[in-house]
Amino acid sequence: MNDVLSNVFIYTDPERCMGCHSCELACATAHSTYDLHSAVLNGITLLSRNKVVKVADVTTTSQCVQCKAPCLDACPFDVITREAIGAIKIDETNCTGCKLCSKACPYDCITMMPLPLELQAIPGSKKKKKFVALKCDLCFDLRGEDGTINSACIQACPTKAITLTRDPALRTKNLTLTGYLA
Amino acid sequence: MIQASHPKSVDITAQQMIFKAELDKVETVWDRHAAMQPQCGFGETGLCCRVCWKGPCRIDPLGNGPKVGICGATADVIVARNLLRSFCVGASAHTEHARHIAHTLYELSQNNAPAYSIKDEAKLIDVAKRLKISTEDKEILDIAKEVAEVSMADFGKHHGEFAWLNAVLNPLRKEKLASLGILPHNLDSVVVNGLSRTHVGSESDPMNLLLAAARLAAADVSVMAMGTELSDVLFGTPMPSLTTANLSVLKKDAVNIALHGHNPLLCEIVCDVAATMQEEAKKLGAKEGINIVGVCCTGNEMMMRHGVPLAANYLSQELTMITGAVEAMVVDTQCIMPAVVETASHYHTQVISTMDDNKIFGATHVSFHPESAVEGAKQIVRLALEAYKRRNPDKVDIPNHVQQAMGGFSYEAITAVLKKLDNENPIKPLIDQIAGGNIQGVVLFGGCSNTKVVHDFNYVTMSRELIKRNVLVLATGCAAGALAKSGMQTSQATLDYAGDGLKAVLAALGDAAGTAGPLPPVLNMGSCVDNTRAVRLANDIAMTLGVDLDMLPVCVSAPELMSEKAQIIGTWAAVIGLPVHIGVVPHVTGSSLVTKFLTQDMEEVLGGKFIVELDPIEAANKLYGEIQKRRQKLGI
Repeated sequence: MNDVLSNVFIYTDPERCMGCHSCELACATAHSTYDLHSAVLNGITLLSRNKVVKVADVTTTSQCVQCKAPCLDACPFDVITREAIGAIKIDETNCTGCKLCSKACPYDCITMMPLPLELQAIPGSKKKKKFVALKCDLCFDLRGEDGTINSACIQACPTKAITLTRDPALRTKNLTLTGYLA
Repeated sequence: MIQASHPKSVDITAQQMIFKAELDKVETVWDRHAAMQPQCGFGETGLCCRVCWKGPCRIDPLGNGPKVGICGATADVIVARNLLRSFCVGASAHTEHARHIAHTLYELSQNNAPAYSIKDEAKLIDVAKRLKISTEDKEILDIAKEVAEVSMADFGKHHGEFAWLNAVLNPLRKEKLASLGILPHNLDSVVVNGLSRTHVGSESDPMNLLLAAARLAAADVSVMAMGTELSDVLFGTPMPSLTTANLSVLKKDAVNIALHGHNPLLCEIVCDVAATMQEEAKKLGAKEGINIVGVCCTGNEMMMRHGVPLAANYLSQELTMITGAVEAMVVDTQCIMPAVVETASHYHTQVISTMDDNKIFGATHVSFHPESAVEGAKQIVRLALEAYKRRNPDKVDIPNHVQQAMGGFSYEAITAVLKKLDNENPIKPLIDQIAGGNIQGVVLFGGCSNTKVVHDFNYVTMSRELIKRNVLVLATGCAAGALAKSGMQTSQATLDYAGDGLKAVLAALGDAAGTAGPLPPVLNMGSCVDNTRAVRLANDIAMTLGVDLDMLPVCVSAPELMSEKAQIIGTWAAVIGLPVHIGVVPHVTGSSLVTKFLTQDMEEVLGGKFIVELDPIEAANKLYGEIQKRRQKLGI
């Protein structure tokens, strides 16, 4: 499956989105070994890879659209990879925090975050670093045994506003709404 | 995360009815739970504030969004405020319950409640003594009047003795709470005060809000004792009796009346009246006459005092009607799902509400008052008889998995058994067994059932795990219901699950009590308002040893809780110095301050704390660990 022109990506229907941020919480916990309760007790800050945004008078989510991936070309350490379904994934453990990918991203979908405690503790990463690049990877590591993608935000959305799609029209609609396409 | 599918309940009879509900196309609480997924993360973390109409405000727990509400309230303030509001509601439910009972006792003393009488005069004298009311040369009704008056005065008292608090709290604990400035002076204003502090622009010190919750908790334990003890006076103090529990208690050839809710005032009279109307039921073809069964705590009240069989606890209340064999579901107050009306509409069941301040939309309302109780009860039974004529036999399917259970272990019942071992000092044999290690400690299970947990699973798993390690288990409320339905309140359960030490003690107690075998490893102490029965027993041990409860190897567990009442009960248990396990994540994780205080720092101040653990085996391990910690402190 090398057809990356019709990448799978996440689309949020602004008509259905209530702006409740449940997807952010789900995303942050899905990308962590902690749940909400244990994170609080251990002083861990959970980080989401998506963001609820308000545009005009609607809310929707903003996250990586799994495009042709200039970030992947920009990464000097080859820690960004294109996975089977076209999901672009950052190996957060080995990311050096150099910020080149986030500069390359045309949609501002990569956030550079001060290195969370959780990642500081992992030995054997490539070098001492201050930042890590985070972005939506469709929860690739949580896919089912049969290869199905189980993105946490989709599961968490109370109004079923978030879907996984290949429809290029929705990609255009999404980028238009968030101001990247005229 | 996709959840693996699992059974919804470990109550076999409930499972059968859940399946029947699917066939009958009737929605149950589990269907509604599934439809509600996913639930909002802001509510889950306690970070949603709807206190004023500038809101709703939400604090971003991930730290990218707003850190304070529009008014500037921090996550800590919002979480503490929401928590205190919930506790106030829980406490007010107990307060209204006790007020109702005290008021009835007063009316009775004025000869205005003909359906009621003083069923336990010795208990009345005992209560009077503990409230410091002299009983010498007084008529029983005069004592009743004084007890009722002193009790009612506790609701609004602004000066002087807080009688029920003094009767309930260990003196050492009273001193401790006074030193922290959190000793309440009455029952009503402590709730009002708590609520007023959560008004927009009022208190914004999260720690002080938590102290307000602790103060409220001390009042709540007092008012719950009032509810229980005065109910004993009116309806008799429970003594052990054998009965049955789970949905198989419904009878195909009887007019089945399910009494549901929390208040013994109504169900007691319905029991009395139904006994006089058996013939009318038989005339309609119900060979076995009228069969009264209990649901939730009204069920526990009747099971404790009269051995009335218990059909269901909170989560299986709808399933009683799905058997197709319930003529009337009679409800009073608290924990009645509004959905019972919709469930009943699929069958011939008549839902009857009885309290003017607890109407259930869609139910038939029979206004129930102490002064005309018998008439009301008759009307209720007649509605059930009418409904029986409409029963569709094709829809009837009653599970036949009969489960014995022994209920009725009030404080007095346990003391009576201990008296047979040591008449002078009944608490001594219990202390000896704990010191000697045959009983490692005591865990009191309380709380509800909750769709976030497989119905009854945590109760059954944890109690078996603890009993195996010689921990004596007490249970109230829906915990008592779950453990009755699962066979943990039988002699057989002692033989099957208890460790050797506990088995020996329960066998000796069984001999003394004259039961056919050992006492059950789980002693059913009654409804959820009855938790103070266990407090009295624990205080007897503590005061004999000259210590406070924070020294005793006693823990509390609410592994399937949901209601605000259960939340405040858990809180007072921690406030009087006990470790309290909860098996559901509370809505506080949005605040590290509140979470840390409740689960860690509280222990230093009050000796008690909350332990949040979702895995029942791990929870049992943790409680056993707490028990061992306390045994070491006592040097045993």
